[in-house]
Amino acid sequence: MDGKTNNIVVDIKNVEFLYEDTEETGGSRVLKDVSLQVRRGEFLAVLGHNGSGKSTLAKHLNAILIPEKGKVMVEGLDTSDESLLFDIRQRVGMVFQNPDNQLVATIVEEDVAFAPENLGVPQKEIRERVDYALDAVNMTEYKDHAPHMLSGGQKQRIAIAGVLAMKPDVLVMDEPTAMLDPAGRREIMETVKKLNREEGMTVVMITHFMEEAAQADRVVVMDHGKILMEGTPREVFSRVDEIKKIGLDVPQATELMYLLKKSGLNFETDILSADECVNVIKDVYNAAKEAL
Amino acid sequence: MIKLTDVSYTYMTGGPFEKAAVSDVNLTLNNGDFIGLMGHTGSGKSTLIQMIAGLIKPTSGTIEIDGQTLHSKDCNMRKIRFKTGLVMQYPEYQLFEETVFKDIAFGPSNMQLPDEDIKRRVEFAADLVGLAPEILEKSPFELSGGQKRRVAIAGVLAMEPQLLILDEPTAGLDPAGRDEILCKIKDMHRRLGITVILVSHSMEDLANITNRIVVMNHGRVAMHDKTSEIFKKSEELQKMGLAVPQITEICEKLRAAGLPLSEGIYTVEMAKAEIEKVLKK
Amino acid sequence: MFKDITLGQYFPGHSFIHRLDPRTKILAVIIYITSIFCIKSFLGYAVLAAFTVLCVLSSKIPFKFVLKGLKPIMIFVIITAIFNLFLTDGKILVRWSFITITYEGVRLAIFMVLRLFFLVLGTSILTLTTSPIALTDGIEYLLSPLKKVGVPAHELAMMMTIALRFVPTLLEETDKIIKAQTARGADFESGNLINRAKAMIPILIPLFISAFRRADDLAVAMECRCYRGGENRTRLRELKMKKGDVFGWFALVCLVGLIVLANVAYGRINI
Repeated sequence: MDGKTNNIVVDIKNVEFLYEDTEETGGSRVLKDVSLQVRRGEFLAVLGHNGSGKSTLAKHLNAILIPEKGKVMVEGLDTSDESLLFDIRQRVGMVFQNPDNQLVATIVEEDVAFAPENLGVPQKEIRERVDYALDAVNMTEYKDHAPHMLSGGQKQRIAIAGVLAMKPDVLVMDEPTAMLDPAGRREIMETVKKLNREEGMTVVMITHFMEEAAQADRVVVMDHGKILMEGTPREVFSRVDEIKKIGLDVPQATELMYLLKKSGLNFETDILSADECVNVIKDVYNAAKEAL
Repeated sequence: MIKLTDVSYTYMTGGPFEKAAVSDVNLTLNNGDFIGLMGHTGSGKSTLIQMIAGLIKPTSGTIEIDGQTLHSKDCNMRKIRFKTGLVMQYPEYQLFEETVFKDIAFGPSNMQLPDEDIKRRVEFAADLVGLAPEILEKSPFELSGGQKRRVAIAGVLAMEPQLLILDEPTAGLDPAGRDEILCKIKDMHRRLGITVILVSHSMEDLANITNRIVVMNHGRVAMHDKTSEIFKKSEELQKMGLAVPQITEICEKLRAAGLPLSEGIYTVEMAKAEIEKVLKK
Repeated sequence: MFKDITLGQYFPGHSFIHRLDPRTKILAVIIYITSIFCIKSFLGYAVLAAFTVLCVLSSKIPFKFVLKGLKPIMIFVIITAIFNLFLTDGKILVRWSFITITYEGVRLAIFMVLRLFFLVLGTSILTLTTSPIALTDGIEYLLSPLKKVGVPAHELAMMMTIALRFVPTLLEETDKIIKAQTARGADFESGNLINRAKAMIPILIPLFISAFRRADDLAVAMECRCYRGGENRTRLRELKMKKGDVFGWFALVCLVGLIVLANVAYGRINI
């Protein structure tokens, strides 16, 4: 393997998929010629509204779904090769929306141990992995608790720990915060950012919350089964019109800049945070005051 | 008018796990208001609305709805429940009938209304939440998440309650779905003139549609005022761990930097208008 | 209502009994129950009672708490006692109009009451001192030799674990659905039996749908965590017999020995 391919953890090539799921969508959901590369160590957000195909894409990353056309390669392993199924799933850890429905055991520690137990890891190493994973999500003090006594954010962190215990190369999260309250959402974002920065974990986060996507290194916007935009959060959110047209939000700071620009004031829309916005307006105001 | 006097609720009274969810709440809500109820998880807001809806009985204190005291001897609780409609969190999980029509009709048929009345109410409620007539004959289980939720809300509306309580009606929806539901609720309030209590974590959601806001913290009412007044207290809100809208934060910081903006700006449109005025001067 | 039932509830602790290997405890309870039905004399029951008291003492669980487990079976115990008291033939003790009480009846009634009491106490001590997960592990280990004859030991244990994990979740969900349907005017309290059964439909259907959805989600999540049945699986907690277990087995052998002696003695002196 040369250096270049090694830097790509997951390579999605021209994937097409027809998804018959009448219960959820009332129709078929499609991926149309989607190509995307997940780079090692990056924090990638996939943004899109419900039914845009973002979850279908996520399910292709660890062979829950197999593309009808095209290929998904995980570290050079083809997801359509059934004999590689467990090698792929161990490399691509998946966390889902509802934290209640992914915890198996009645004790936190036992749940985190579930994956390594399945992989036949020796007992001593299971212990190490469980301790590491619980520490990485900051839940060590809850190791003897019953999952149903924890808050939503805590449960979701246990779910993340359960996946980390497999020592995956990528952490894929399918709308992990959709069912959480703001406090839980913050906990998850902090955990994910910490894992990405401190542990160098590659993260793919599927979401419809723009606040979360704004914190990623790179954002991919999906609509109608296609990749519509790709770039840094700054690049993507500055295209306020297009984002709003497909039913997504932009940060209020960006929207304010956009509205002021539209009414004839000279502002740029590549602004994400409140502080940036305050500084820009303040400078214009002070300059105008001095000019008087 | 809804009047709560010294209302408290304690879970598992007498046991080692005794926990006060709501303590000494005194609150008067006027008919026709659109009230936002805000607070983080565990602040007691869910317990409070369940008490107002007559589903659980306060451990102490009284709740009066239009002069009738809940759980008193001369109060028919089932009749009261028809007057207050409660839409719980993730209400789509309560759907059970074969068709959307039958599911929406569940409430009205429990009221033992004549068939033509039920039909009229179901159609009216479906229209209010924006469900097309052809959906009424479908099974609720083959609809999308957003549609299911609207069916569930219609199921409560069909009882034509005087007071509508919605517990986080936008949870789990994407921005488009969220805006649509909020818009329908606002429309309902305007068309029916009923009292609405909307529970939400999101101040942005509440800012745009409510005219009054109640803030709960540690089981007590921390604030109760007009929406515009509440957002003037952004510092206090942040102390309670509630995030104010980004736009409020921006305007507060600009005010601190000397820009002559008014207090308590909570929508992007308001901010735009004021900043434009200041900068174009 | 539910909080009064201590049978099947775990009482966390670190006592000698708590720390025993679950296999020791499960086998001990099986032997204990067998001996309950083998005892022929009051002397035997006295030995058993002493053993039980010692167990409860060393488990550091308050007696009151253990005895609370007897409450739900009280009615059953009384009915059994009455049947045995009045319907056993033998040496007549009291005769009053159509009621006859025999010597054998009294004896049998007392025996039945004692048997039921000890049965519940024995199993209570097991469940009170053993966490559900240890219990499941123990059962899996004990059943694993039977895998060869087709007993799905791992699958049974996995099912038990998942059931235990989801009981609180589904209880909470049931409560929510009941409240939601009550808010829509559902009436669960009035009407005849058929009406009341019908009133359960708006609760049961959403509950089933939710349970199936959860099962579906869980299956995918388990597969994503590389679950492929019990083959080649390792465990975080391997069960190991310790010194305490040796002592436990010694105590159990003593118990069985004493009961056998008591039975032999009964054959000779007849107390």
